[in-house]
Amino acid sequence: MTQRVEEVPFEPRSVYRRRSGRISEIKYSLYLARKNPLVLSGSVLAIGSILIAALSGIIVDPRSWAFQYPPRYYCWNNPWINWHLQNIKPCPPGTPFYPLGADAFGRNLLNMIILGLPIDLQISFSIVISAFAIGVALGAVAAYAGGLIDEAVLRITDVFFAFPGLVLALVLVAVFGRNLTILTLAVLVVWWPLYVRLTRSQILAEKEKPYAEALKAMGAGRLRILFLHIIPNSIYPVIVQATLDIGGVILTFSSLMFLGFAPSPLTPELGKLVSDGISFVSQAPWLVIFPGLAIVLVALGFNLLGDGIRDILDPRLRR
Amino acid sequence: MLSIRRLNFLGTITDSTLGELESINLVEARNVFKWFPIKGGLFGRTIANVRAVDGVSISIRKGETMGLVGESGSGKTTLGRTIMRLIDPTKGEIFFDGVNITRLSGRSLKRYRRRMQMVFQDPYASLDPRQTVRSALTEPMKIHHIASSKKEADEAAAKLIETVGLNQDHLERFPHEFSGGQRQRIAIARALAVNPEFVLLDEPTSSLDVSVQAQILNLLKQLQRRFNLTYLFISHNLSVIRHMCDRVAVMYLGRIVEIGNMKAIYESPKHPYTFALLSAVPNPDPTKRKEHEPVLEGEVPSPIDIPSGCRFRTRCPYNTEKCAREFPPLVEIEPGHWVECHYDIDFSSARRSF
Amino acid sequence: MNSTPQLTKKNVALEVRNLRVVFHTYAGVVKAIDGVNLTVHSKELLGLVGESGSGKSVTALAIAGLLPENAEVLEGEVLLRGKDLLKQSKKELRMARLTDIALVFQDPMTYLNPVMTIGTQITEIFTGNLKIYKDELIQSRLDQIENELRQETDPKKISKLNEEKTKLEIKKQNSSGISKKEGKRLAKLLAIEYLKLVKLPEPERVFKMYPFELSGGMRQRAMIAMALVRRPAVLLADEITTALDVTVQAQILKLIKELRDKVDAAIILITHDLGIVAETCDRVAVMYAGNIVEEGDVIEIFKNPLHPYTVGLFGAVPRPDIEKENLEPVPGSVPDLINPPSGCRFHPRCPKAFERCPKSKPPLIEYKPGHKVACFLYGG
Repeated sequence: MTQRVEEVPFEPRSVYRRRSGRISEIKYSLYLARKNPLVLSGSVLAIGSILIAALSGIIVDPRSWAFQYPPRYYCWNNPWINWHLQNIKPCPPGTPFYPLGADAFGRNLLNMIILGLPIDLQISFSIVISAFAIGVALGAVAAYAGGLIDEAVLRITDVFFAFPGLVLALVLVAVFGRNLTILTLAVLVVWWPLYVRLTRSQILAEKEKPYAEALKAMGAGRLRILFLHIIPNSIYPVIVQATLDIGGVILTFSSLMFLGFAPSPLTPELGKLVSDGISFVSQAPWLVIFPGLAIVLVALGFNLLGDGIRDILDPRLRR
Repeated sequence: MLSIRRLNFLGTITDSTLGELESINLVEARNVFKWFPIKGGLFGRTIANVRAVDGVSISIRKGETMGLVGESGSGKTTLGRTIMRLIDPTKGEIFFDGVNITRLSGRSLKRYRRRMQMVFQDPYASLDPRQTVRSALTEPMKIHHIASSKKEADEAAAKLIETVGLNQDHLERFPHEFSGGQRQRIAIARALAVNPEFVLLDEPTSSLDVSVQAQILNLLKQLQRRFNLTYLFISHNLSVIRHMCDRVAVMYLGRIVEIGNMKAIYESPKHPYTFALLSAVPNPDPTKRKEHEPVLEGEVPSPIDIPSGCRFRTRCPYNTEKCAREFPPLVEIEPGHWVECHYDIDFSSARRSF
Repeated sequence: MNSTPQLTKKNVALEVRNLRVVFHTYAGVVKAIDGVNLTVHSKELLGLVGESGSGKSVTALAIAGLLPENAEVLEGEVLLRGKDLLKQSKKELRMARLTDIALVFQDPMTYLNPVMTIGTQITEIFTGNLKIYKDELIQSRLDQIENELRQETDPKKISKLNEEKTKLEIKKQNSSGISKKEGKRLAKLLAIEYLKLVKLPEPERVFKMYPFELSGGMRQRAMIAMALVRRPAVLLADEITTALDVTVQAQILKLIKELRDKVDAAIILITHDLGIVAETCDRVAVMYAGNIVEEGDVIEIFKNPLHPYTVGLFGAVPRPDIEKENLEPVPGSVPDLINPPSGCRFHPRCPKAFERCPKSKPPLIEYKPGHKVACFLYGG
């Protein structure tokens, strides 16, 4: 045997990947995240809001959302309260007990926002996670089975896509009464088809890649290829979509609340707070501005985070 | 270690006698068709067929390297994938080691999958980007239950990676951390992980640089000797085919138009397409520059609408009325050298007056 | 055999002097091009050959001023018509790119607009810059008329052509521009002339076609026409035949050879295929890891390669006409350009390296007339 295999002395990328493997992958991701200020601020906002939501019961009195009666003396003048009590002074933001002011029921607006956050985030997470689970399962089945099953799943998603979300919510509320669970279901019903479509298209694209064929040629079974290779490779865009959707669901849900689907007039949901404040917007704009701002910041945080994850997972950056 | 490989003497055995020498053919395709239907209209009727492979018979003998050369759209990759049973032929049969594997599926097919492996053109795309090299190399062993324990599989992977000229430090890395040549080495190692007998090489070097290509070609030759492998080498690069192969089949629009020993094909091509292909290859020798030689006009016609009679006639400088009317016969011009052409053209004078 | 054009100082089309380009990346600073000197003459076909990572495409991009944002030109000059392109303002650079430098890429489909006809894409160059191209458009039409007059026998048509000629000559004298409609007409005639030049069948029909209606070879011809129609001083052809089949590649190479004699441009053919260089070029420059290691007349270099890398490159190429028992490639792979080897960048792979090689970088010296090499084995 005269031939020898040449040693390969140089590897172009080994300089910064010397102790290679998963750890350096994560390090590289963190580097990419640090390099992008938007991602950083997005994650601060998103993680911050989750933290506040988790600790809300400790930060503020969990019962402070309830109607304060008799209303505190320095609360803002409101005709309904006026009917009971004269001489209630307006209560704008900046006072020591009420940094963001108080609302029409004499409640501390800051406390209300802090108590509203966990409600919104819980609902949003449960909708997105359920939609994600249904979407990945159905999408994978549709893409991999193909043929009639694929067609059936697609048509079902079409039907649900065609549902007008608002009308559905109206009907459900009319039938089952005002209830947060019912409203969550109403949003979920119009939300999950997107994930089926997305997962399906991702898997279809991934299925055609040469490595899937290479595995088939190697003798790997269909399920092995699907679960160990194709799904893990096609899941990233779906995760990105889910992160983006957390903000989106919060917006949708607060819109529903704003439109008057709130179960109880006192629910400290962010959209409901805006809706409560809207009738006094000319005299007390902060009642609309602060809860609105809270919605925007949370949604923005998750959107930026989602965009950042997409950038970091971008294969062009990865190579 | 087995070192006898070149079975060139078999080149004198004609296809007609091959029936009796079944065991000598490791892989055989008999009259294989692969048509891809184009659906259209309201009810998804088949309105046309892409005739990617249109009646091909080819046999690959144990230990040899068969070259399959053709331009894009010639159907060479489709034929390769059909032989590997990655797609089902529309018609025709595929034999592996004398067994008809055309209708096999599931577990019985998996047995044969272990014996035939494949190396793809784009090594990066053919490796799962999320898998480390170790996991890519041990996966085929897991699939075919070759290694009894994780430790055994790891040892085998370490041995494999050194066989293809990389070292064990590379096992923990991901495909994107390697250069093109290294990735192709990994893909080759993965193909060898299950001790195959037959390896289909689908343009294994066409995305690589010249010197890396040479390294890979040398490696492939060395591995063939060492493991007594049989290769089907698909390429559009005639120089690489010449370097690697014992026999060559030239494909044009879904059919093999000429097949024979490497020497016979390159030194005395008989089909006008083979001749045109050979004269179109740029030669890295400026003193042999083809200054005024005319080149083949036009491009390969669409495989949906294949010309009548001889399919090369639309570009053939020798085309006559007969070519449009009649399908050319497959003629054995010399022992083991088959040509699908009506005429026996002497290209030695044509080199000037083509 | 081609006689190489007279290499006098006069007809230098482009000169690159001591060009150094780096890329800023996550991993570090990639020293992509490290002192490249290159001269191309009008009507010359220069082959720029090298493996991936050798910097041949980066050189082309630097010449065309199309380097990506993370690239930085450390030093060097790109002299075109006596002006240094690297020191010019963005606007001037854009002008130079419009008029003097043309690029053709490997994959025409990515550089052609899929929703515009070939014709619109060619004429757009002129109609979008009518002021700049006024004289050129009129002059080219006048040349066309001259040509047609020489062949025409029909007196009616001759008078018609003469009439157009006088009209155009008046417009040429006139300092005001030409109307958009007139510009469009002239541009179309010019475009069709160039589509004819690149031997596209039925150029009038191709003019109205969309890129997807053309085959790969035809698209590449259209790209070449689009590049040449501006009468560039330099045509950079980056791997233009890599995506094509052998027989179509032969057609395009034949076309390039013919065009060399018909147009004034200097053509730089960037390729990794030594066969293409041997087949078409007059001169060849071999690049390795950001340096030109050998340069000279094609026949001389292929017959008598000096640099160990060039020798290794030739050893690695399988030949279509000769059976080689073994290929002898240079061992190893292209170096990491973030930490390139000291001295001669080839020395870690070089079979003939000696103690001087890692210490300093060998200059590109003229070993004999028409053959330059950067290697200490041959002096320097």
